[in-house]
Amino acid sequence: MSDKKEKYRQQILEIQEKLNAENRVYFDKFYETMGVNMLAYKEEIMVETVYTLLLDLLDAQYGGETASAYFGMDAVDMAKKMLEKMQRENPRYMLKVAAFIMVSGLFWSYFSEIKWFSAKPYQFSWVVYLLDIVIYLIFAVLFYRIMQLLIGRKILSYVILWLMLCLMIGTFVLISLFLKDFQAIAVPALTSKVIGCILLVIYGIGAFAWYRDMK
Amino acid sequence: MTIRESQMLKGILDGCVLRVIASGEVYGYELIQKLKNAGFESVVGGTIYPILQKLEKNGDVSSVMKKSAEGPDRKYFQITEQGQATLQEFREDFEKLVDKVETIWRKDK
Repeated sequence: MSDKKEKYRQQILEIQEKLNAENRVYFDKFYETMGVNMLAYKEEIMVETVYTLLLDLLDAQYGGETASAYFGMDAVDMAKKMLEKMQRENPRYMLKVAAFIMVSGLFWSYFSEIKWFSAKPYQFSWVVYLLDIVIYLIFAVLFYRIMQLLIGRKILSYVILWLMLCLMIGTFVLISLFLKDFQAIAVPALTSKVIGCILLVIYGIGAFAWYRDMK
Repeated sequence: MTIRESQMLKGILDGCVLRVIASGEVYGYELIQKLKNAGFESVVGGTIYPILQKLEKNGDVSSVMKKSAEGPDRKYFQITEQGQATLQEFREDFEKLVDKVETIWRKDK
């Protein structure tokens, strides 16, 4: 099915080149709206649907119709209408994605802080550690929702996303400034490096297994 | 399409789509053209594609991707056994409804 998915994706790229300017704008907006919702729905069904509708739109174009006339509504509404009855992604899959993001966040924030060429103990506050992960997840969900809500309003979405990014980084900096030593745990230098190496191997194997499972 | 016409079509269009598919497998664009040729000139993709999704989800139609006469793979819709039964039920319900409307009409006259 993954091969089919890739095949349809490739064909979408080729066929959309045959659309006239007006229909291309319509299709791009439709595809973008579907794409933003990709995580919540069965991807292979979504790609197949986009491909099918694109082929039909091309027929309509050859028949002298515009995309708006053929579908009878604007691109965003059309995409939303198709999504209403589309098969949703299994909650277990969503959970796996969320778990992977969470584990990745935990791992990389530990791994990136290890002082590999220093004999000083590795010190970190578990409170900061957890707060960072929670904020990271909250912003990830907010980014996703904003992307969904601002489809077709590129400049506004860029501005809002940029502001959110600044806000997120600012929050991380403030947490680090004021809570850095709160409930701090010190791990001896060598132990922290050994733990880092073990975690790297476990994370690598886990990430590979996760990737294969997702495929 | 007037609002009254679109309201009247709700529910009926599902049966009409099923009927077109029952007469031979079709893909989306082809189906819309057939409906237009049958007099439903104002039907649009925004109405028909969600109906196809619903019929497929309910098991009344199945779909298969296969090469079309023009070349690329197309998604063809076919009626299922369950769909045949649904179509039969629709036909009976529709005839009963038409009878009722006709009865009222004659009474008023």
